[in-house]
Amino acid sequence: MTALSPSVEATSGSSSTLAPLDGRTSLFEPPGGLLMWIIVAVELLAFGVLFAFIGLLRGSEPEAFRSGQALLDDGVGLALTFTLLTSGWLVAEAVHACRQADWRGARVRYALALAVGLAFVALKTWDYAAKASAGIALGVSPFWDAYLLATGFHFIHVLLGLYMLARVGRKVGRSRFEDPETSVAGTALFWHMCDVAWFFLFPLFHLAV
Amino acid sequence: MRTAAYLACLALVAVAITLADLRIALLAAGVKSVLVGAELMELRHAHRLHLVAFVAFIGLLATSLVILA
Repeated sequence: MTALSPSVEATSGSSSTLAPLDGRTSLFEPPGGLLMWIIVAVELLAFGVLFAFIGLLRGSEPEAFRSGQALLDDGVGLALTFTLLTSGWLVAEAVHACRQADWRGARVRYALALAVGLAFVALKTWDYAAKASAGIALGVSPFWDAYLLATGFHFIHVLLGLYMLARVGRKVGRSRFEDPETSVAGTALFWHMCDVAWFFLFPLFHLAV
Repeated sequence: MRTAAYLACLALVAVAITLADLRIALLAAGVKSVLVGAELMELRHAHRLHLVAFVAFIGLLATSLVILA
């Protein structure tokens, strides 16, 4: 075999660099690696079930939703959306820089993505603290049960994603990745999954019943 | 294209918030997800079946939520 497909080359373990994506990858070697896509698919299915539950709850508990939504800050919700989207875009640019072997560019973009991601964490932590000081907790109403559990589930994924991004960003261009496609592009994939989940969570809680 | 997808997502957030209609916001969420999937998750470069499966899942999710919510 004279030429390996980009993803085969990237996942061979013989290279510490991420191969550029020229053309389409094969069915069993998607960008980000098959293992990470299986994880992302399972997570998205779990989020999908959660969204369906929230959708049903909106219909069955309209009063609880109205009173709960009156206490939500739409500005904070929008800021959270902006930070996640921006961080996701920066990570995608970082992965692209890795595919071009532009290590300095990749590290800068990872640092910016982490900073913006940490802004999400800070804002969400502040939001939870404000809710707790207002006496909001699990068991207060069906709305707050759904809100705290669903956004908490999402928040755990954000924390995990940030941890993985920090580890990858620190290693990029400095040390070898055994499987660069899964480590670099796969970690980004997980981060974008957090974006996708938030796209649906935000309107389900913030937009009026 | 990645920057264009990012800007399009921001524009869709603005549209959804301005209109303040849950059904439109959920459909906008579906479009944003497809943009993120195709461009940022690099599905545009994946085997066509991966992109089709992702778009089908997001379409099903958005449609189900529009009906449920």
